[in-house]
Amino acid sequence: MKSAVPRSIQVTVSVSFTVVALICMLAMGIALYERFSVRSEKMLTDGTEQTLDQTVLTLEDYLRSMRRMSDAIYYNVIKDQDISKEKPIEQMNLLYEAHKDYLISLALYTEEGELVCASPVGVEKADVDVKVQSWFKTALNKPENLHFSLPHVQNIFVDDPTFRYYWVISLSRAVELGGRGVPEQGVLLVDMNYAVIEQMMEGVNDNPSQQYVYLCDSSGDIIYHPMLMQIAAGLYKENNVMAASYDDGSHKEMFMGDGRIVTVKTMSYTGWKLISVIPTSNTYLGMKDTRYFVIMIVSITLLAMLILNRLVARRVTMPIIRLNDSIREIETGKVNPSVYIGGPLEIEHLGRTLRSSYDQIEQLMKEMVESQEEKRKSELDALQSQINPHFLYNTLDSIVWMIEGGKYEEAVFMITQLASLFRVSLSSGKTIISIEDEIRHASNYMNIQNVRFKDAFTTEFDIDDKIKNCCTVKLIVQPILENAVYYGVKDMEDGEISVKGIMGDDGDIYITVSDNGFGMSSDQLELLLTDDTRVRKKGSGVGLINVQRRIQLRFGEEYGLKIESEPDEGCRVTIHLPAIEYTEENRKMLESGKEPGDEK
Amino acid sequence: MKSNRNVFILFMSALLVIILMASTSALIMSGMSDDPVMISVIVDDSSSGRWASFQAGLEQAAKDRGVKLSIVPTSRNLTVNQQYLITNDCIADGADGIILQFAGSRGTENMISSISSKAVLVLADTSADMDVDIEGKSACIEADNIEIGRALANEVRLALGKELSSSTIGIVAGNQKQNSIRQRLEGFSENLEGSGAEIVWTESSIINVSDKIEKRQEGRWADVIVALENAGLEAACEYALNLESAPLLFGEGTSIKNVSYLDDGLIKSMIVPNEYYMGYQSVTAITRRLDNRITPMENETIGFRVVNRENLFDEANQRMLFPVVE
Repeated sequence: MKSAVPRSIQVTVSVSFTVVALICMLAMGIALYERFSVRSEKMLTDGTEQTLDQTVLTLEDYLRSMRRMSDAIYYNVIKDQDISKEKPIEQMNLLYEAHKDYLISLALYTEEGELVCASPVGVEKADVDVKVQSWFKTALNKPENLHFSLPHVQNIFVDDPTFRYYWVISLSRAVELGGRGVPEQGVLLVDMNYAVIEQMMEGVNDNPSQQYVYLCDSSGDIIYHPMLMQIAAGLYKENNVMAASYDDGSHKEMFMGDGRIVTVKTMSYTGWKLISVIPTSNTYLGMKDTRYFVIMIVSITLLAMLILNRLVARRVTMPIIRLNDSIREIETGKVNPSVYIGGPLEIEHLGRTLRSSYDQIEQLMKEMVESQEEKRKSELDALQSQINPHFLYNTLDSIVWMIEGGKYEEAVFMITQLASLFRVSLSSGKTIISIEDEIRHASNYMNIQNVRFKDAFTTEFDIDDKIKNCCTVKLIVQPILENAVYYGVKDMEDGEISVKGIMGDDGDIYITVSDNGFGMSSDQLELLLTDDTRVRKKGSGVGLINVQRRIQLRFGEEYGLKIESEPDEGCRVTIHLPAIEYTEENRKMLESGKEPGDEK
Repeated sequence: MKSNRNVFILFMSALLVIILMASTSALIMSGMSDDPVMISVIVDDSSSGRWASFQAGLEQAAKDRGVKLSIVPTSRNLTVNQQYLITNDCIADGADGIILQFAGSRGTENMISSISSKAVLVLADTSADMDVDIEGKSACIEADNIEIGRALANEVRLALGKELSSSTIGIVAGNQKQNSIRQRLEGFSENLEGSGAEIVWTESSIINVSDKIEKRQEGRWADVIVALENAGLEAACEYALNLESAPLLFGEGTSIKNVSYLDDGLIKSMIVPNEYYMGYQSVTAITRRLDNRITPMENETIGFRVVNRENLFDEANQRMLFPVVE
């Protein structure tokens, strides 16, 4: 579909640049975002895996030292000692003292749950039966292994004065107790201080992000979790059972509607799993700062793009716009418009071509005007030249008759008048003459006709002096007089012809030729100024239509002749002319086809 | 056309400049840490072990939500007016939220109205005269105290069985000015009605309670002593410790001391409200209200557990009874 409003080249260029830049930006942005997200995810998981590795090492060190201590008590003390004679209390105390920062207590039980010895020395709770406690049962069920329990509150010894209860992880193992004759099984309990593991894990979790690390056993039972209390209170949920089934490494999962990256690291011997959880919203673009930063960058880029595109589009399209302005100047018809030639090679070439085309058109126009003027002038000259042969033939014919009849004086008068008439007729080739000369010409003509027609009619000239020095096309009164003579008063005994020239109220000139001849009908009147095909039987042969055309050719359509007549009431022809002072300058201008004041 | 284009470009440029400035200032502002929300906690005898779970909940929630928590050190048996003065001091010091355990529930309308107009108020442990707050500018988080009373009566019934009808019962009723304690008494009495057991005395004092119990026992011996709150239960245990033949003790308690008495067998059965949850939710309710002041606050009821010597070290009870790792 075409756009309703045509776009300028600048908008098109600007929009094209913007669209291309936006597409490039978008493509680059997506590519960078993908790259960035993959990289940041990898960095994050790598970092997490490193943290987990270090934490696992620390935890394993701790657990290994606890196992070694258990081994030391068992292999170096219990196994070699006859506990029926001597209890290994001193050695246990020594080991306890050496590790008391990490330990709550050491205790040795017989298979029946009877306390052999413990360090530090404590009083057993009255009603406590260790045989039902899980650490004891596990140790005897699998005597070949050392067993780490889940964290629990120690429920063995009385500590009334301080009302203290300790969270411990019990490391228990089955041991052989010697010295009672037959080998007997027992259980060695090392109650590790849970606070140590908690401190280690709190150190790992001490960061402001939403990332956290928790510890669970191989079946997913939580050993440590930074939100353990919230979980116990039902305020938080953890996907621990599922996570415990994951292999070591990073995994993506959805839990409670949130995406998370879960990294798992399994510890040796215990099978405990250290699990790091990174909510996806925490990883990269979810961060508030990053969002603001991206908005800032996008705004800057768009702003820069908008301004640069505008500048570039302006720079690229400016020569075209200036060339377009030049064409507009030509369209509005400004004289000598300045055609822009400049800018890139192509635009410069277009400018030069336009300039050259304009010059050519201008030249052609001038030639055409000149040719039209020439044609008009030729036509005018042809019209004027129609007068001469008829009139000259008739007059010379009359002079011949006069000379043949011996009327020499009259012949001399005739020739004098004819000479004057021709002087005005020629007027050195001028087509515009003064009214005074025109009236003189008419007067010469009427004098000749009066002689020819033996004063059969009278002629009266009444010309206002104000109009005598005004311009007129030459030989316009004479044809009218000729018509008045031949069609009006020629055959009358008291024929009268009157020529009157005045300056009208409207400032134009009105020259009236009236006669008291036979007049004519309205049909004839109409044909006088419209039909130039009629063959004149009388007169010089120059019709009123000829006069009308000449006046209008020079002065315009609003001027010309007005004929009024009724049968038997004579005829009245009014010549309407503009009042233009007869000066050399005005004359030349009118002759060249222009009206005075055109040049302004 | 051209003018329209220029206006559009100017408009776009202005819009982009505004977005640029806004995002830049947001970026700069995000680098500066806002003043954290300050919450003051005013409870009776703040150093009492009875608040260990509650405080653990408060602290965890404060950590999770970046709240600056201030537990005002208080002595035992503050009056409501003293609490009101302390609360006003806290607000003057810039507290945005107040967690308050009123020493007395009645006649607190004006105080609640005044405090809640200046800060977000959460009443913990016991309700008060909150009818005045129709806009939900404050809320109460407490256990279902009538149910606690009923649960205590049930424990007595279970322990004594048929002997109950011929038994005498003494009640350490604690601070009866508090709605929570009154409701516990109401629930207990209601459930025990018709059992045949005789309530021989009810001790409502809060000072030297152990001595008062001893005097009550000297006056009329009770086979069963039921304490409706933590301090009363501790006092009853202290009284019973020195006896060769102690009465059966029941009660509501949360302190490690009471847990220890329960572990020793001195207390037969104990009701433990989930005060960790109460603490956590108190802070959460305040921060939620500060984030969205349009939504009215709502009261919340916390759960409780019935703990005896047999289930004391059950996995489910350990976290509630021993919140602090030592």
